[in-house]
Amino acid sequence: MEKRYTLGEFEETVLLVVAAQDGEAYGLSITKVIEDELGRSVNMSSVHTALYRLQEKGYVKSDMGDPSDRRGGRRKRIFVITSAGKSALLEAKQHRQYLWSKIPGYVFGGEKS
Amino acid sequence: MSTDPHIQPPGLARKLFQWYCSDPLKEEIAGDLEERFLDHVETHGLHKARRNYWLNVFKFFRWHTLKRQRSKSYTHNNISMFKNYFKIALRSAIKQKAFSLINLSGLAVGLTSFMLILLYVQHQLSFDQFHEHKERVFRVHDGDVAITANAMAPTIQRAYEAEVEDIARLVFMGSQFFQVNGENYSEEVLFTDPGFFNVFTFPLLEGNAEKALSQPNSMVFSQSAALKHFGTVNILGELFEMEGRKYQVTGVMKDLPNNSRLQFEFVAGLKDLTWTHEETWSNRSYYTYLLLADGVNQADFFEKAEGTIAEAYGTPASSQGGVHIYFQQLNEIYLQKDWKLDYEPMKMGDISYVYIFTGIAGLILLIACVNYINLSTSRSLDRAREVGLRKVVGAIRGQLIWQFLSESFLFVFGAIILSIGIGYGVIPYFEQLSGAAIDATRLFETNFLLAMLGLGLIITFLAGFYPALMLSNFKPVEVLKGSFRRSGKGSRLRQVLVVFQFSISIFLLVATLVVYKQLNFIQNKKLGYDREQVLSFVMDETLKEKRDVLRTRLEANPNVSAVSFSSHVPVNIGSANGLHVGPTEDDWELIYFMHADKNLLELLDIELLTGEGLETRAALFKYDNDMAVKPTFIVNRATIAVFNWSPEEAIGKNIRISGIDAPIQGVVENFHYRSMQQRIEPFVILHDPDRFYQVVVKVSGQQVKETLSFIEDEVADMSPSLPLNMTFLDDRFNRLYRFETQLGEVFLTFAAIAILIACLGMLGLISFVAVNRAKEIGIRKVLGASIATIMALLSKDFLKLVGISLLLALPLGYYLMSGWLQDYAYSVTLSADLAVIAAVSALVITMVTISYQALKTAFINPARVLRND
Repeated sequence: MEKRYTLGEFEETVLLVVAAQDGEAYGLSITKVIEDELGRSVNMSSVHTALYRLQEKGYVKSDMGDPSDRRGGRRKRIFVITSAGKSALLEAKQHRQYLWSKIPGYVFGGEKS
Repeated sequence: MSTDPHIQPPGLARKLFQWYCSDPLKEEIAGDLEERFLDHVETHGLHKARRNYWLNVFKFFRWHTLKRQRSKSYTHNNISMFKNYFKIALRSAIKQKAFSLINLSGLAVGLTSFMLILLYVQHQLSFDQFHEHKERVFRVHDGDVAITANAMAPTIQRAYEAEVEDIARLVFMGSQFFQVNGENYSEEVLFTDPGFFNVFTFPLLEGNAEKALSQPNSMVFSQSAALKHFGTVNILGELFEMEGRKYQVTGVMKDLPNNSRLQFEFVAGLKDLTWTHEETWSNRSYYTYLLLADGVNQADFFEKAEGTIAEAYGTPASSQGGVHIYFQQLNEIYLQKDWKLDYEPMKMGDISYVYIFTGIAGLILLIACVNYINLSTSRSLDRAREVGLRKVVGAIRGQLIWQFLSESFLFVFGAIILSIGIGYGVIPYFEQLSGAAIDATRLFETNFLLAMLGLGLIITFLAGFYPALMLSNFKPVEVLKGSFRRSGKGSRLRQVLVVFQFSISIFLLVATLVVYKQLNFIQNKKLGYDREQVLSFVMDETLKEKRDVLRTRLEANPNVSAVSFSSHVPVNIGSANGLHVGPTEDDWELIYFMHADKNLLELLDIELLTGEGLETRAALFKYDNDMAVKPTFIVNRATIAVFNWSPEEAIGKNIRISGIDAPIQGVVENFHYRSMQQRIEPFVILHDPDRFYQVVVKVSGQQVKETLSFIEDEVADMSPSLPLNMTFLDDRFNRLYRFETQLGEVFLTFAAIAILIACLGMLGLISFVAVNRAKEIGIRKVLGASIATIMALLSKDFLKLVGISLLLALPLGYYLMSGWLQDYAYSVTLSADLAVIAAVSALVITMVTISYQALKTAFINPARVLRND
């Protein structure tokens, strides 16, 4: 059976941030990016849940990072995208580009040809 | 930043998070939470940051973050582990035989008590529940006495033919003389309507239930009566004589179950008694039962019927006005609480007895559980190493909890098996104690055993859970290093438990003392008459006619000091007339009466206050008031108190009893003619020789036995067919207080059991303390403490516990028992002496319990305990 890459919209966002923050991504950092840079309000716990779901699907893998003072001496769990994750993202991107290309130009303000 | 002690996330929220979050996720999430918190402190300030922290903690409450039992990892090995647990439990039980025995016997004693009481309560609640129509059968009464006039049932039946399916009036006639195959017997016979076997469910082995009583002179025997008189149950159509008339056996019924309130061996038709033929409202000797048809609105029916009866009652000349009638459902008569009716024919249960028993059963079981907890935890040191080692080789806490629970399981079920055995053995004693007949085979019924299984599981958890938690909690490092000391926490709990046990025991002790004191009071109270060496028996017609001859013949013996005749004897006077106390027909009170001959007052030593006694003036009293001589009354002090007369004033005043006006000729001092629970009510002594049924004899001298056989011989000579049944007034008096006597015995027994179990708990505690404080005591001895000082030191703590228990239990006991005493019109007052007795005995019992261990500890050689350090 052909492998289907299923990605929810929020999961895709989270996975994109993980890829963007290559090697630095953990729960809070991703939350911050979504909140501050995308201007979307989001729960830490939702991000956390999404990360674990991604991990179950095999799109990210994780490892414990270094402890820091700011966290009361606790370590962070660093999430890294896997090749399966990359494929899923690519597929999602291709689907979109394909669909974008199908949109007639005038829909977004161009002249009707 | 996080080093600043003021800038911290809320502690409670943090704890909440730690509690719910699963371990692998804890670190990362907690880290994120704290980092976020610090961010928020910078951007929004501390207050808002803390609020957001709380919010985030709640938001992280999700399925994948929760702690979950991941049991998959060790299921495969469970069965063999449980086998191992049982093996270890057995080994450690055998290793400490004395301890195991104490523990097991505590549980077994508690469980035995509980089981027996359970059977008793079940038995009491099952009374009269076997009647098929129990929900539709009602007994009619007027609120005062259980008997009604014989017109009651037919009147209701005629008025409501559709609603009343059947009726049964019951009359019990004692001492009916039977002649079966030439042999004489005296038996009690129940006379009733033909519908009896329809109303009640008493199955017949032989004969037809519908027709058994329809013919005159037919009688139904019980199975055992048939066997007794004929030697077989195939006796249909057999002939015999009763009271000189030919009778035929028309049925044999199965023996009545012991949870039937009605108990009888012979049933005959009511029509056989000629005096019952006329329907009157004045002869009240009948227990009236109605079987209502299916689907009758009962409440409506009762109201209608009461109206009908009041109407019917209004016309005949009756001294009692204002009719109320009440309906009692058949299966609720036995344990009912609302009515204290006179003339209850058969044994009555007492719902308060059921409550008391149930309460005690619960307490005893609780004490037994507490005892188990106490003893198991006190032994923790022995098991601590085992627990430590098990943990080191990989046991997790859950497994250890299961281990100790299975150990409790073993103990509890061992105790259950033991107590079924003990229960079987002591049921005869318990029957005596409770006054209820309990079938021993009930102990082995499936339902009962299943209930015991359930109970066992409950007790296993109740008693085993805390010890399991505590024992499984040891830290292996501490335990194995040898520096392990028991924490003070556990011993505090044990102290509370011992106080609890002792409070209950002391409470039961106080209850016992109060009951016995009241009983003693009743038995020694001046009754107003002399009951020593007074005996009575019932006359038959032959003796009645030759009364005076009998008197002369009996009085010829120097050991018979007086012979008298009467209608009743003081301990069971129940019959009452109406005494008019006001101008209208409705102003009347019950007045109890007794017919007596001239010398009864003297024989019973009833004190005459003023006026004339029966010796000097015995005016004939008849209810049909057409005689030449006007009757006169001798009344008691309570009667004239109704009219506010002094004894002197009362003489010659006219009062009206049962519609007859007559003057008072004498006043006697009050005497207790009924139970001590009842106040002394108005009483009148009348004189009608036709109503003398009893012979009252006062004997004197030491040769009571000889005197009794002399009386027997004389009576047999005069009336050979009379089965003589002499009873002493004393015995009958004591029978009145059977309930109190039983209550006393019940409390005594269970107080003893409770104290026994509590002492076992105390024993557990002292042995725990003795081991725990061995070193301290060794050091004290080295420094010069004497044996006495050490004994005092060890006992002090225990006496303190007993003191606390006394403080708790004594007021409670006094409070509850004074409530009980309020049931009595005449009762003892509760004074300090009981408290002193209870306190002293509690202290003595404590000292005896602990002294052995305390002495052993005090005498210990300090070198032995201190050598190792």
